[in-house]
Amino acid sequence: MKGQNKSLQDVDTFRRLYERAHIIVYRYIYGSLGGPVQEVEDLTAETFMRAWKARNRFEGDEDAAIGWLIKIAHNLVIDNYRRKQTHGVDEELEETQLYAQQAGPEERLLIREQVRILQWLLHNLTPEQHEIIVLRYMLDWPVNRIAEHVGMLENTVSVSLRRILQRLRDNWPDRY
Amino acid sequence: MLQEENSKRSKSHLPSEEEIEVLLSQIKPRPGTSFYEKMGHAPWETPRIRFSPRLARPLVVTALMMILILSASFTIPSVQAVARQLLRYFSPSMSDLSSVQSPLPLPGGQVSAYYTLSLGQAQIEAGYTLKTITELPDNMVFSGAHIEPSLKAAAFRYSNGRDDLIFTQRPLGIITEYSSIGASATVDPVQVRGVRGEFVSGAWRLQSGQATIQETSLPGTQTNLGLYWDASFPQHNLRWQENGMAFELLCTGETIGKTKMIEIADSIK
Repeated sequence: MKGQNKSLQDVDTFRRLYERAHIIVYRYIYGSLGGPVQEVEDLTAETFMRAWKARNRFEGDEDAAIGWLIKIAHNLVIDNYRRKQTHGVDEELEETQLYAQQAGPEERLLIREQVRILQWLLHNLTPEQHEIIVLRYMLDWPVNRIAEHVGMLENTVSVSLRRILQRLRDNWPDRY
Repeated sequence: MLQEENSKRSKSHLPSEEEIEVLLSQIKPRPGTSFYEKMGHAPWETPRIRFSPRLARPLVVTALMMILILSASFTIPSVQAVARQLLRYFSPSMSDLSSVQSPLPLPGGQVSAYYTLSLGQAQIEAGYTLKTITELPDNMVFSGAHIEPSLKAAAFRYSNGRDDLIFTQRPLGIITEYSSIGASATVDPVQVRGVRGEFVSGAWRLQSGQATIQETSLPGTQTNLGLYWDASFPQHNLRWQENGMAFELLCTGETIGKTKMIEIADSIK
């Protein structure tokens, strides 16, 4: 199935793309905005609506289609940011949004708190750094795919990732 | 591994870069039911498939029944009887075409809307000790659970955003324990966890333009669904029984095959 997308003009093909990509797009937008959930859902829906309207102009395989969707989502996030000129962290980070449900209650509380700090720190990164982190960790993209998507060398992406992690660690609040 | 990392973090409070990586990997949000309700009306969704929140309940039942069980209600009884002598868990139909009377059509891409429970919530609702997969394929994460009380069935969904893995468990004796497959399907007997299991690739799919449903919000509305067996559809199904329980692993996509599914089954504890 992978790499064998027919034209997206075909409704079944588009539906299949939606089924496979909607969580990816949702996670990308969530990672970029940090919430609130309603806004993330709205922008995810808008991403697919725009893709639907522009589907006649797209050609490529499934990976390319997902990259295309991420670019549409990216533009929507930028527009949204410009419109609001603010961005913040979702205060209602739900437990189901974390893959840590096997942990005990105390650990879950700690993880939630640490994730909140992390989301706050992420919003102090440059948009490029933020994007790389979201693609690498929330979408689990390999470095070579990120490099291709953002138009960088693989080595540059790897170095950026190390530097961003260092920066996140250095900026982690002492009192926590 | 996760617990070890979490434990380390709680001791140091200031996470290392590696621990930050682990934290980042744990942020795996997924859309809520309101998103799926909204997207159910998207133009690429089949217009005839309409449902309202009032229909959520039968839809859940149907989804679980159709996806995980596909009981032989739409096959010929005499064929079922013969089939049961030959096979333990799968029952071939007379042909690769079939139809089923169902309260609602197959939900298609709405499946993820049903897996809304955490593992803890599922455990409480199930009322018996649930087993879980301990070794997941790369990049697969738990993405929700569903309990179907009428079957006492628990289904866990794992996903990597592209492929899905659904693990179902239920006590034996509540429903007939076999599943309908197309005439051309190949049932592969396998050894799973020291017992006999059966593996099948392919799926029943809706015939294009066959499904109809009256535009009504009354639960239980019956509709005729035309189905065809697609042996090349990238869906794999592994079933086995042990200790009074029926288990099933259902995987969509091409990355996980028979050997991997047996390995996954072996990791269930």
